[in-house]
Amino acid sequence: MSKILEIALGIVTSIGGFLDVGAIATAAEAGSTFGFHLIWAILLGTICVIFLVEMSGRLAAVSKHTLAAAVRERLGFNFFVIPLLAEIAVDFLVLAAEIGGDCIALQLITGISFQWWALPVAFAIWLLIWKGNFSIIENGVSLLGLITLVFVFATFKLHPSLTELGADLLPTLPKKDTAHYLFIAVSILGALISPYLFYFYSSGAVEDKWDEGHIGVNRAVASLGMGFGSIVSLGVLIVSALLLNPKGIQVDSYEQAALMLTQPFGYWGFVLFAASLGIACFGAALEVTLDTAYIVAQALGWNWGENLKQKDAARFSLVYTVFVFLASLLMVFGIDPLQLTLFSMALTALILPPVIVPFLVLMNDESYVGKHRNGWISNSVVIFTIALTFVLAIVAIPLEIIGG
Amino acid sequence: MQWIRIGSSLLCFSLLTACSGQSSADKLTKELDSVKSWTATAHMVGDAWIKGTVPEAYAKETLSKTQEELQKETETLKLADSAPGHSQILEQLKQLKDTVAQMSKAVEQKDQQAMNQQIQQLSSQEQTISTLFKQQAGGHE
Amino acid sequence: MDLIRDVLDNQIVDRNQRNMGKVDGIVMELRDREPPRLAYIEVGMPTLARRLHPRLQRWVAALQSKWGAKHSRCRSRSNASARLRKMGSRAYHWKDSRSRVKTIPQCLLPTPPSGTGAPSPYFLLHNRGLGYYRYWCSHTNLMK
Repeated sequence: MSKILEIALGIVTSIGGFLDVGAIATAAEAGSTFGFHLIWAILLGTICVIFLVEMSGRLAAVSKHTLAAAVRERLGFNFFVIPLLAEIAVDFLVLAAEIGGDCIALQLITGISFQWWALPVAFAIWLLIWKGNFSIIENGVSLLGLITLVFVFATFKLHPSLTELGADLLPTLPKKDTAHYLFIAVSILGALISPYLFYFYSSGAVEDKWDEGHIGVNRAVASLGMGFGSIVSLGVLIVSALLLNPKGIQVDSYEQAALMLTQPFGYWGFVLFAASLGIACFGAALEVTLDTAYIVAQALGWNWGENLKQKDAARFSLVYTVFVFLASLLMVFGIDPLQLTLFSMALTALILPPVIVPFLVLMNDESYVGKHRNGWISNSVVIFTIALTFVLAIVAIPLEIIGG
Repeated sequence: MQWIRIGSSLLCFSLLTACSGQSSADKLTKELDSVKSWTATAHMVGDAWIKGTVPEAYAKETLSKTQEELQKETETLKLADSAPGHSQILEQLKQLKDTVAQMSKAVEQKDQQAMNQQIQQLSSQEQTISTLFKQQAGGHE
Repeated sequence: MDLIRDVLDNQIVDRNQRNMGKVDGIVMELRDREPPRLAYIEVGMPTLARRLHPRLQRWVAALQSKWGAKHSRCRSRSNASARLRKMGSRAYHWKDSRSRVKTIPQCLLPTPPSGTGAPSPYFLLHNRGLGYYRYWCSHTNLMK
């Protein structure tokens, strides 16, 4: 019974925690500009992330190593320094974007400029990590994130044509604005296949003291949780496509995206959009902040753990404290949150290859995963994802310049 | 060292392809899309404010942002090649900006009637500018 | 034991199973007509930097000498510092009740044979760059 409850909680928190500023921004822009034509990117990204998250959980449960620690041990520091530094840089930008999303949500409700909210939001993130424990952060905030299901309800209320939706499941290039289309596709994939998800998930599995008995839980949480979570992302795209695209509105700022839910739900739609954006970004900001501290501490062998007292993990605590403060400065200086989000998602796509390649080595290494090695399906998906990420990495910068 | 050379070659190649440039017609279409997008945003915000589905602070902020974006488009188009009809587009953009400013004033004064009038004016100006852009784009092809 | 696979980049823990760094470097002792043996493990940022590039190591070492932990002599060691016990002719075991990383004082390190003209088997030992932390590991528990 407790296993069933654990699975249920894991699925629910995965759904609630799936959406973040990257998913909202990219899905809203995709729907408003290209209608349903980028649904395939969300589905493709979801399939990849389900497999990768499941593998990082399995690695942690069987080997009791987090992904970062295992990569350094197995592949050496000379290799690991590349994904480590890349991940720290991308985490910095993504965290700034998440804080920006929170600030915009507060600006929408209060009318006070987002720049004023940056430091209070950063302080709130820091305070929750400092005072809270892993359970509160993982479960509490993610349960609040279920508010993002409002996009799914809006989708049902608007009755999209299933024929049209089905027709756009396969990728087709548009007649005009091809570069922008491909840039958004790359950004969607970067937003969904986020490295911080895998590192955070494996660290969480070790914090929760998962063992081989949790392999089933891990599989259910990864597949069902991420799968249902992607429905929320699809909801954002569909609502944006149905309401903003016909009017010719292309989402270039969050102020435009905020109009999405006003038609189906009136004034409460506006409030729910702001609440969804705020809570989703807050939860993701907590994860990204912790993720950075996790990977630095695990890379250098320091004591780490959200459940430890600060004096027992001083350097770990110092890293997240400094990191969240520095990231908030980008918003204090007034950098546009939506443009930063799209840029950081494209950059995420750039760094994916060195992050994904170790999966192929670790998940087939008996000394780490024992008899729970990858089967041919998982290995095929990893190889496909590696190939995909190499393509994304090559085209990300040119597309950012031409179509960004 | 070899990896650094390969990586920098790929980067140079990527940048070269990135700098391939767009045609004038494509650029104009892009600017038109941006103008239409922000004009439609102002229209939707005006309608939502009248219905009471968005707060006043948000309406003012968004209309202000619309004015900024229209100003940016004006600056961009001023730098573009001048051709017959170009000055008409700039004039129409200025009128659009003024209409959005009037909408913002209507929100401040809580005048729904004035807002309705400005929204109607916005719609007709949007159609005019769309026609002008298409003529301009057709001339560049 | 495969030193690269099983020692290098592995986690070091203290007696209370608390993390205290990773094995960042390995120092091998070369012996005449005998196979080399593991003499020391190294922990510290300069060691990591050296693995990437020697120039980076110099920069990191310079930074650490300015802002990092300093050497302390065995005579002036405080109560909370590491206590070192000699356990055999050339093996040392370290014990630190607060699991703090400390350097081995120079007075406890062996000196190379002088006047022989032969290259020292402990070539890194004589590189006294500040910030190196070295542990004699013959009887130390290295891995979990």
